[in-house]
Amino acid sequence: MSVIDSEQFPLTEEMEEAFVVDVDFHFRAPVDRLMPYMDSAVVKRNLDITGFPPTSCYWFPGYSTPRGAGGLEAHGKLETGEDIVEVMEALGIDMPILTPGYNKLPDSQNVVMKNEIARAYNDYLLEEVLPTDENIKAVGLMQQWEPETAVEEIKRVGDEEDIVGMYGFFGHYDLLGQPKYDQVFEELVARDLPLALHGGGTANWPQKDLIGNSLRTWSEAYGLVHPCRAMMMVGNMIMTGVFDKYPELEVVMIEGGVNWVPFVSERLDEMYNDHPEDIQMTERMHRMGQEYLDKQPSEYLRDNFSFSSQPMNIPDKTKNFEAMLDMTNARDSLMFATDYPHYTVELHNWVLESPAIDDELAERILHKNAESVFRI
Amino acid sequence: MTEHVVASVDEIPNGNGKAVEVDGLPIAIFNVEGDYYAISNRCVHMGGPLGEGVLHSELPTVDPDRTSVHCPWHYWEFDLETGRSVVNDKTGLRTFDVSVEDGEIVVDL
Ligand code: FES
Repeated sequence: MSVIDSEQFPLTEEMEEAFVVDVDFHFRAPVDRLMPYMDSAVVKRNLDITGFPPTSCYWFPGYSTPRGAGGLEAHGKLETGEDIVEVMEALGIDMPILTPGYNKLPDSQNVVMKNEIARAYNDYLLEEVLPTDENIKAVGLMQQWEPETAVEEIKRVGDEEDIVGMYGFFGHYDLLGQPKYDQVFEELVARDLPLALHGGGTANWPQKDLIGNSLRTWSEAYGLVHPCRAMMMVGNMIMTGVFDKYPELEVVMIEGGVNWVPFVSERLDEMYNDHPEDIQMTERMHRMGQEYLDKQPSEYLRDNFSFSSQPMNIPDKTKNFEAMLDMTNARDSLMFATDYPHYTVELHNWVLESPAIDDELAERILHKNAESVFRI
Repeated sequence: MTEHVVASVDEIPNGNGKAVEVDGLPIAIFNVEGDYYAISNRCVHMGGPLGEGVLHSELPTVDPDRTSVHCPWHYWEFDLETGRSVVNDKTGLRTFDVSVEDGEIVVDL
């Protein structure tokens, strides 16, 4: 059975010819594919009864996009490596970097179950999916909710050739500036693996606070929450000295938008220069005995972060788009992404057609930056 | 204005669309209960093809009650008569005159 209606994605010759790496190609293997890789009888029994995975989610895209069904699988349901190859051909993608499609997984409070799912997913990838085609790569799902287990997982799968990074969330859990995550950063840096972060959990924003409980539209819940959380994650990691301690750590922000990068750069620099001493009271910097950050906040944002393109939000005027690409450091930091199979999918037509993007920049966005960040 | 035969009526059943190219312009033709409409086939949002594909929700792209079409990528809705977005009349797509002659669909361009 075909997983995609390729007529829906007509490709121009130029789109077919371009070499394209997609840094946000979601793969949401159904639970029965993962079952053979699970050890725990009790987890298996529960998943058998409840389906996958039992969560409470007060928002879902279908609420406001009836034509996209549930939104998450609006453009296809993938189960196997062969399904992925079919979609690669239909979308003109040469190298998908699979990102786990379990964005509601953080909503499940059962750590034992989540640990099993993450481990089984990574094993299913390694055993059955990645061997299908040498161009299929993946970021491994990391047990961010339990840093010690995440460390074990990185040790277990992080040296596999086709695992090109590890995947966590910029929503839902403690911000990663907390020192308990240093053990995770150490393992990543030791293996030269980037940390890929994506939104996820509690329908993006916890319902039980004043903001979450006031959200009424998908425009707010999806349109603004991912970027807000991405900004908070970036600021927290920089200001608590993560990159002073781990200057080699590379973080990929996926689906959090990029248009805010100039603002956050300016704003953090300004505030830091107003109040540079408060970093001395952060746990990590205090323990390191460090008086000031080694660099300005904007320099970490430029040097240690890169960004997936989707959602791109291209300004109408070419000159504004050119300025945006320049101010967001697209030359070194922007990596093309589709977000397939979510209803928000974007193809690479915009990279090839925009007058604001010359051939060299297009190559960087379409594959060179990703090859460098993911060490491919 | 030049007339271009783009399809025969049998090729586009009621409620369906077809993507064609006329003088290099991508155009989508729709049949809404026997009335034919032609609109640019490149969505103003991200370039999605109005005239192609199906939606996984299995709802059709064409809404006959509103004489509109939804783009298959992110579902923006355009009025087939005017080409305007139904929620933002400042944005929209070019439309073209269509007629049927001897069972052939003709676009005027
Ligand atoms: S490309 Fe048509 S709605 Fe996005």
